[in-house]
Amino acid sequence: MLIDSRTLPEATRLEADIAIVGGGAAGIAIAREFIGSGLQVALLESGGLDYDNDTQDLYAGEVTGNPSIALDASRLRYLGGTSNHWAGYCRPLDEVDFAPRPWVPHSGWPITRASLEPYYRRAHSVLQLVSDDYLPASWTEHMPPVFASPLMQGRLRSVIFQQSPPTRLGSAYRAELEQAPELAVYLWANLVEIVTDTTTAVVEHLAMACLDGRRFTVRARHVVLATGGVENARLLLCANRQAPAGLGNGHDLVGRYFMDHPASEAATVLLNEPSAIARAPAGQVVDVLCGIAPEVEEKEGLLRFVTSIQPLPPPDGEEAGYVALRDLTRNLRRGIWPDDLMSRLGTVLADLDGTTSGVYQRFFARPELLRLRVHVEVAPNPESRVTLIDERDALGLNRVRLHWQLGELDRLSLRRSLEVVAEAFGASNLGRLRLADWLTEEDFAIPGNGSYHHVGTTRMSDDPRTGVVDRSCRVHGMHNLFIAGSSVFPTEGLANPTLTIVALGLRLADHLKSLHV
Amino acid sequence: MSPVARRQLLALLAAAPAASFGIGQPADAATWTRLFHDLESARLIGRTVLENHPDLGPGEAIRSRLRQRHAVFRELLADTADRPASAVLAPVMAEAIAADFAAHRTLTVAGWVLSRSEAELCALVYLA
Repeated sequence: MLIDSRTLPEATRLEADIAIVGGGAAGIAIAREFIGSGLQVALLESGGLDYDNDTQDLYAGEVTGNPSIALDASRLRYLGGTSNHWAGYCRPLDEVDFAPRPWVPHSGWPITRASLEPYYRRAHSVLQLVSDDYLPASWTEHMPPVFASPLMQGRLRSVIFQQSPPTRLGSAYRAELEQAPELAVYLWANLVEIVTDTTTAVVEHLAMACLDGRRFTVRARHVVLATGGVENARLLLCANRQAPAGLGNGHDLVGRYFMDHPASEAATVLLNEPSAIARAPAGQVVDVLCGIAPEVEEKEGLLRFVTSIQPLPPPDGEEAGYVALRDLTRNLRRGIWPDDLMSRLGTVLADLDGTTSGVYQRFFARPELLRLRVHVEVAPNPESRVTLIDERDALGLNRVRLHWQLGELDRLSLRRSLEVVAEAFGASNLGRLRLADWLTEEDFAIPGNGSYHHVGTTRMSDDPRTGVVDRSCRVHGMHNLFIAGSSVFPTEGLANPTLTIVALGLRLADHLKSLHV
Repeated sequence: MSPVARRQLLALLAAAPAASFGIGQPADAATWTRLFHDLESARLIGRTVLENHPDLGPGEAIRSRLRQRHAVFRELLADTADRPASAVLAPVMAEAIAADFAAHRTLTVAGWVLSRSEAELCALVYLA
């Protein structure tokens, strides 16, 4: 059932077997697992059923470092959470993402990809994916030709992403949440304090508040924080009345190792001659990106990397570049190499800055100019972190400062990965790659606001000195407090995180069930 | 990089992997003009190469490296008039440049990742 917490009598004391804080992808995926279990679950959602400015403002905070993060715009605070605006890209993490990589400091998960496999399969169903096949060979007929070409059989690889509708979990599963007798979904319910016993090892209850001032409490045998990569850390740090450094923070790890996937247009490829390389047909069911072969990543000490390869957006209207490209393409199709080929190509390239998409696709089936938009892993960095600031939100909780800084490995890896792509195009005599201007600076910043993937702030490790949660996602040193979401990822890999967030959520649900047997 | 310089660089890239050879050898003008579409582009690129990579050294050092790197350059840059015909050279040059890329012998010039050989050939054009 759905309950408006603002209608609860003041100082209500709720009880449940399991309290889940946060009604996003992780929280809803976990809650659904208890339908029919006989266990009572309280799902506590800060927002309502739609966007609300005052609730969203609870996310506001400071951002420093490079690259930038859109701290408020990157997340949504109502039922369904950030799944209300995700793009639907899905891919499991690869085996290599779970293993320690000697060239990546702080890498390695305490669990394996194989152990997550059954949960990945179930997560595909939750996210309404039509296939869990990520083998490029299975999809060659659906790829732009470049991804099925020999170019991807050497040092480059085609990397498949499946496409969720995308599933908005709040609306997709609302009926289940309303009807399941085991589930009570409290809307407009904000966690303001995790109250522990005197040992700080057991959560006694959750202090809740609505923005209208109403207060209530929730007592549960087990508590799951599922509020996202920034808020999970924030809530632990804010629980500092009994544990001055915050809960689970005995080793000053909560909030550290923040990661996102920097994403930006990073290069242009000029093909030597007309090519069959083109977009995949409209309505495609998989997305294909270009990655680096695992053995090359290991040999060269690279972080994970993918890039799209797409025709450059077209000139808009009748700019000189557009006209030159149109005429050039028409001639080349007829087998005519114009006498002024060089100057026409030069005009095209000199005019690129003002280009937009649309017209190009109608005129050119075989574009000769490609753009590369990268999406890359960054290395875990303890200096990239979420901390509390003095300013408080409407509920009295400290707001956060998010500091994200790129390290030398991040820069070297991105630059070198693009060189590997350039070398592949050159070695195949297909064309030449030009790095974006920002990449030619030694200490470059990556343009953009990240990918809205907030990862790593309550990282998983068997050792409490190197992680906030254990392999069961239980906060080290606490008996009944668990974390769900991408904040437990020790490394982020190249995949978008939602599929793994859901898979880990389903795994945590199984674990919680086992504790209640 | 100015639009003009970019234009010239693209002209070179689009021309042919053969780029320029027989640099400074008048007897070969017809051959390299056929294979290298736009000599002025090569000069401008060569200037950028040397500006970006002043450590490449004088022309003779560049010639020496090219000769050592690929057999085709030993013939092209020899001080004799007996050079291979352009039709034969084009694919051989393409192989040499592809081999550079495969072996990570590259130089970044104004953002362009070029094979070391094609970049050095342009530098020779500029120095000629």
